[in-house]
Amino acid sequence: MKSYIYGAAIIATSAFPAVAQDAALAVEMSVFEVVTSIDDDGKEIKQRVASDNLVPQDVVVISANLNNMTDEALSDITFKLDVDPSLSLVADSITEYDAIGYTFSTRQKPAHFAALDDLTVPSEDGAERAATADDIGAIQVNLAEIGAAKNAVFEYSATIR
Amino acid sequence: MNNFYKGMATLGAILLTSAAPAAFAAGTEAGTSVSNSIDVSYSSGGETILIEDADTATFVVDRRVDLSLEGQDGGKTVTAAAGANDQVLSFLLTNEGNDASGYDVDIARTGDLGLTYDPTGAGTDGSFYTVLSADNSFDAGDTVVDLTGDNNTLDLAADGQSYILVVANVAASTADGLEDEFTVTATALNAGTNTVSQQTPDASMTLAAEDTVFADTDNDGVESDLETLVVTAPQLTYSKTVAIVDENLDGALSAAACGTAAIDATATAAVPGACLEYTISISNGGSATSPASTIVISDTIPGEETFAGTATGDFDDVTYDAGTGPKGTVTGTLSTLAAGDSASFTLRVLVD
Repeated sequence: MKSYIYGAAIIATSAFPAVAQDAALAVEMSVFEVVTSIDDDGKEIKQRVASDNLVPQDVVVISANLNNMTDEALSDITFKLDVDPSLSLVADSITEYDAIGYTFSTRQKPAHFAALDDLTVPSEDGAERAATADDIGAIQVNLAEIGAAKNAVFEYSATIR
Repeated sequence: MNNFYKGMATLGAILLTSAAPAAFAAGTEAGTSVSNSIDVSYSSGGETILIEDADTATFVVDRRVDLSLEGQDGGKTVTAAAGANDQVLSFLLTNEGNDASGYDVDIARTGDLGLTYDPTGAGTDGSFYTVLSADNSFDAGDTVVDLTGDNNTLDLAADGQSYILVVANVAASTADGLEDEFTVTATALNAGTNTVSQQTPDASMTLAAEDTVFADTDNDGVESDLETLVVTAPQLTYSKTVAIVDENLDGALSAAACGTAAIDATATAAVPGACLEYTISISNGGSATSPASTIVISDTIPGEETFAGTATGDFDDVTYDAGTGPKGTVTGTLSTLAAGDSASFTLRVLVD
């Protein structure tokens, strides 16, 4: 699965779309569908489309666009993305990226954010087992900075259960 | 930062009270609203700013109409002996969509067996009827269902299944090799109605509303399958021939002696007093798909003859009952006659 993560290094300078805004940082969440097709050469092509038709087993991209509306850099940005219980995080849709740090929590409460490898969940027999992407209920992301009038986009893929 | 974690704790409390999604194999239930929110904190001008639920990406899971209908019998063929009752052909209807659905189930028959559809399930010879079964076993708990017309035959919840059984009663006189094909078709309806499900036009679909999407084989909400009922029966032919054992012109041959006398090859006249031998034969054709069993052949002796004796020949037993018919009745019995085999017994009489 292609990774749709874009760190602060990928920054748009164009005008921002109309979004829910706070004083300095405007945040916009979007959902797309990942459509797989085969081209004339038999190569598998994955495209994101703004689909109005979403049913179980479709793969969606949940996209968070953070726009710095000011002329000063914003620092220590932390955001938490909930993964709806009806979605199953695609395991390899989030890859390592040096400019950001991120951790996960399972659906257990209270939430505990850690690397995926460090998370466990109760199994059916009551014992603890290693958590998988399917167990993830939230993603926490840390960005050092979003430059003045810049934006950062974070995305993950998930399958509708 | 502290405010951010406080925000998370609040969110967690909300999630604790939310219902877990339904665990359908067919997927998330249609109409489920999927929300993915974001909490954000950042530093600006020396202050930490928290934005709880800064935005939410929301969509509604659409209704996926998906179904399968599969004949359950090996080779999708059932063989039935002539005269057999309650011969069952089984079809399994499964709702593979993510919402309850109704189904208009229809049945069509073609073939030279020519069974007639009896929606009432009276079970008369030469007819078939249909039942709904939960367990693929035809029994008293099954419900006779009339599949004629365009209407809601049954509703199935997501992942729900029902067997549709075709129950046939084959007339005893049915010839070997005749067959009927039964095509069962299920059309998806809106649950609880007679309204055929329609896919939402592309232009009308929205993320915020529950749309309807077909995902079955031809994306039309219709599935069908076919099974064949083949009759297996013996191919029986019969013959009865007569030979003159002795003309007995002098009248010396008694009935008892006639029963065991050697055949006079020169005898040609069936005059009064003559001793006759009837050979009664039965054959099962070499291409017959079934042996004949429990064979019983009765021969009534006419009033112009007197019983003299029998020989069992290939039969298991041959008996004489003097009390039936003008001069009694001879009955031969044979347990089985394989395809390609013949069997016979003989009966001797004196001409009165």
